[in-house]
Amino acid sequence: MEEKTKIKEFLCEIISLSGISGYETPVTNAIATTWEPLVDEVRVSKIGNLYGIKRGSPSKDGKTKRIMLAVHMDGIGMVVAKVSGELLYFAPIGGFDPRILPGQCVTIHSQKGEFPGVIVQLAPNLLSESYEGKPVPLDQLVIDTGLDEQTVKAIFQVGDIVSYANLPQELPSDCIAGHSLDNRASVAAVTQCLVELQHFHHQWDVYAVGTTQEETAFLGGATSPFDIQPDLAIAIDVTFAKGPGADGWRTVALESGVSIGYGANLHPMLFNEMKQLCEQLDIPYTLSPQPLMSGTDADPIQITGAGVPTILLSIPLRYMHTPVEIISIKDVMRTGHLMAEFIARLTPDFIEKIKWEDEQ
Amino acid sequence: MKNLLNTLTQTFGPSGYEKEIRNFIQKEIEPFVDEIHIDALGNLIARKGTQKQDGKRIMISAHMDELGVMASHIDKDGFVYIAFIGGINPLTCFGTRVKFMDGTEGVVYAETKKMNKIPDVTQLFVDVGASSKEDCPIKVGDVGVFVRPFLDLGNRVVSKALDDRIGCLITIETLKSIKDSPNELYFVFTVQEEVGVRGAVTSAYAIDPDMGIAVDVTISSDVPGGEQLNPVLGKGPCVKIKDSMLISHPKVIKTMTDAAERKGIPYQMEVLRYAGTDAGAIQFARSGVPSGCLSVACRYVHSPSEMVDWKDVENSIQLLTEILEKPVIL
Amino acid sequence: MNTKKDHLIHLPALTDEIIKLLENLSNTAGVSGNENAVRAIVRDEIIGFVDALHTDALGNLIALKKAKIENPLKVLIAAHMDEVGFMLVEKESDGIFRFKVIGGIDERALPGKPVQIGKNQKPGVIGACPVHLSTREERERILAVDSLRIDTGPGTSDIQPGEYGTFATKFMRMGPSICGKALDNRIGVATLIQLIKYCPESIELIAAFTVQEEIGLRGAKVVAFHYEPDVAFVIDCTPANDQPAWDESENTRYKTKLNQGPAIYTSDGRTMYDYRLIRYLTSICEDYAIPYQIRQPGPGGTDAGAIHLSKSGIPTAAISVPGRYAHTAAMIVRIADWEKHFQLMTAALAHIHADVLKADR
Repeated sequence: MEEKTKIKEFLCEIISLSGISGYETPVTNAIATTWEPLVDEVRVSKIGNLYGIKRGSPSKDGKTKRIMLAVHMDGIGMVVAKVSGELLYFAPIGGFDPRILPGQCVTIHSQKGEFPGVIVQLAPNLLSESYEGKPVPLDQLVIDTGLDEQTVKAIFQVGDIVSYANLPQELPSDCIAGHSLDNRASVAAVTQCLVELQHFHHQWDVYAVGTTQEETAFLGGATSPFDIQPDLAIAIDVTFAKGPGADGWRTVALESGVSIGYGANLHPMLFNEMKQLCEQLDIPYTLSPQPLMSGTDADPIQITGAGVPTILLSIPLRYMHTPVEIISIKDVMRTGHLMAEFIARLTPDFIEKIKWEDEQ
Repeated sequence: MKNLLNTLTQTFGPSGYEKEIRNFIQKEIEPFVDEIHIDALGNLIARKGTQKQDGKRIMISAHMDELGVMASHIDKDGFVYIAFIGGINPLTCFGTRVKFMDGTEGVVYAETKKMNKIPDVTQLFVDVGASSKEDCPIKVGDVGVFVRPFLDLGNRVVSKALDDRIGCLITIETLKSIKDSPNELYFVFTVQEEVGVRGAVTSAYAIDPDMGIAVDVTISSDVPGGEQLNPVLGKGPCVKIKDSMLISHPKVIKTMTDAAERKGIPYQMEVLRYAGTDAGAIQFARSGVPSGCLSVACRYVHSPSEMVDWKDVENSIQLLTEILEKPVIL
Repeated sequence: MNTKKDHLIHLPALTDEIIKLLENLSNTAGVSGNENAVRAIVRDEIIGFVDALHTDALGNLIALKKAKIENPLKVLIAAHMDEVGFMLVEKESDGIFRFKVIGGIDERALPGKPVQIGKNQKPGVIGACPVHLSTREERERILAVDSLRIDTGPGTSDIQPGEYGTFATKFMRMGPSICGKALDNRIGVATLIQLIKYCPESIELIAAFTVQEEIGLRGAKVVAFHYEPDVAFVIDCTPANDQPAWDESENTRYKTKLNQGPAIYTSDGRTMYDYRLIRYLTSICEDYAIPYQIRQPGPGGTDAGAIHLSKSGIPTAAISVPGRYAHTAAMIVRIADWEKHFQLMTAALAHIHADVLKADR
């Protein structure tokens, strides 16, 4: 099977699994299974970060440098907040625009198993005000499971996790639509990098890290570098693709390749290295300015321990934080390929050779 | 005649449930017509005479139905929430009384704490004296009408349902008084006018008339702070020029005004910015029917106390008789 | 009425096979004006059971079943095939289309939904601005349909303006319920297909699978005019807003309730229903111990609005399956309500007789 098709199938598999921030286990397990044959060791940290460790060839002095590829596995979701009659009220986990919610199919993860439900808005007379011509606020939207009151009371309780249930859709030109592509698309890119590294000689140890709770607290991004103490880190996330409802300087075109971040949060020289590598390899790329924080795992990674030189690579994605995000598999493959090429070029003295502009 | 009007206004017949009022009218007119039948929607259709040379088939329509209420929910304490049958201003409902088909009577009031300036119909309820859902005699879907007795003020009369029992009275008296006519006359007492002129749709299709005239009430503007319209009480029957559903056929208007001129009957011209009558439906039957409307000026339309001028009523009967007894040129 | 206890017929059950048929109907696209795919399924299902089958000028599919007696009662049963949806109206850029809504869809139900476009149900989505790029004020306004686009992905070559779309929801079971798009009124369609198979020999059945109900009861109007039935029954779906209110005060405006059986109409925005037929239906329910409910009078309408005013008038009743969230991506219906509805209609057909209409209207 073509590598692209394999990655597409893997991506469709992991976006069909639940992995709400704090409850990443189902998706962690699926990623671990795929990474296992590609790495030397797979480990899960105390708070759920997934480490896939692929050792580089040892250098003369026996010391090995480490690069960390940080990719958050978690996605946004909901949690049951109140049971009223046969209805479930819910609270968001992660950032939501409530206007996209009415009519969404969801899965409720109860202790009695998984049950389907639909997010709905009630008739105007059942709300605190009629909200005619206005969005119904999130705290008044409800989930209907189709079950009767008695069954609902027996099955569900406050605290049950709710995830989107819509299935992936394949669009023309190798595009995929679905929920949680933020950030499973990046997980797929890292996986592609590991696949390509099977054929590359590399000297650095590679720590592929699936982080947890990026959407809510950057928990995995802050804790995993403490464990690993990397010499260099790449955070891989998604960025806003231009499209209906999204325009302006924060957006790039879908299918335009890897987007490389620059700004205080990212290492300027590593940014240059990455850009030059794209030019050299003829990999399409765009630049993504991050004047303040990048809002990704790169934020906490950079300031862990004595500080970590950090790079941000992003994959363009339309309709972020809706259940119908769209990405291009081409961009996923390009990102994976770029990282593999970068890693293969890392020499033991790579970090020492990096000079700041004023040092040159 | 006022006695007859009294009975007409006090007989039960909200839209869709016109059986009682129809039975009464049928008995009243049967001796004076040649043929009578009831169609699938409940319209009462009476034919008088046959078409002679110079004659036309003419449909005269007065609607029998009245405004009413329908039970939509019985709450745990036995209050009956309602939907309106027809266009009713909720402000006219406070403290008014309704009577359901089974005879149960009750008082209308509203959820005063919840309502804004004007209550919504969904905030209105009827208190029939029940104290729980179980002892409430009313079920969802039961219909009722407003309770308000007939009041004779001499020159003026007041009642609920003068819209359009006054049209029924005029039509009944006209068909009684007509002796001879070249025209084949179909007197139709229609149903469901108040919910969208529906009875006139099917009866006009069946009759396929050459001309249609509705007899109904119109808004009288001679009240403090009232509408800026032409018709007033006492200045004669109104010849409708337009309302929101109908632009009267010019030949029908001329037929009506010519008849009034011939007989020296006072009349007024009526232009109504909104609303509609059976004529709005009749004109659409099959390939189209020239139509018009003879209106009676009425105060407080669609409230439980509507008022008309008695002289206008007598003149309307005279005018309608004159129109129908003579050949019509279209 | 011939419903003495010893004449009661055996009531059929709602089998898995029928639910499977509904699944197929629900997953099929048939937006008002483009009911072809639904009509094809119906035709295949009924062709062996009817005496004549006709598709008229608007696309209504009418099946006739003759009686075995002289001068039989002509009974029309109408169920609309069409559903609410979209039409692509302009190609804006590669794979991005402007669209218009067909039928009564609340704009608030649109953003963030998977959709399917055209005859081959090609995938697409209605996207929405990322929450990160919008302000709080913006989020307090509706995402109006004019600001939304259907996105079928870059490189789309075989989708053109003019094609129809629907929500992409797939039919599913949820315990005692079923959930899917277009259950309004594919449930009625599935029921009418069964009724054809159970039709008694004492009546002439005109089974009409109508079009364009959602855009103004247009299909039913021409069917009633052409076939001139003696009596008509409309089967459809109706909202059940019986959930608890936000403040848990008594809900007085629920229209219908789930689990209370089929909903019989007395009055809606388009029709005052014939109460001889209402009485007939409720007496059938009582004889067969079928639970039923009266739909709360109020706005809304069914094909009856067009049928009962046809020519010189047609006595008409409407019986709906109560359901929640019609005209959104996912409607929920209790299977038990549907089964009772199916049984009521079967019994009502078995016993219908001209005498029912002899009483004064």
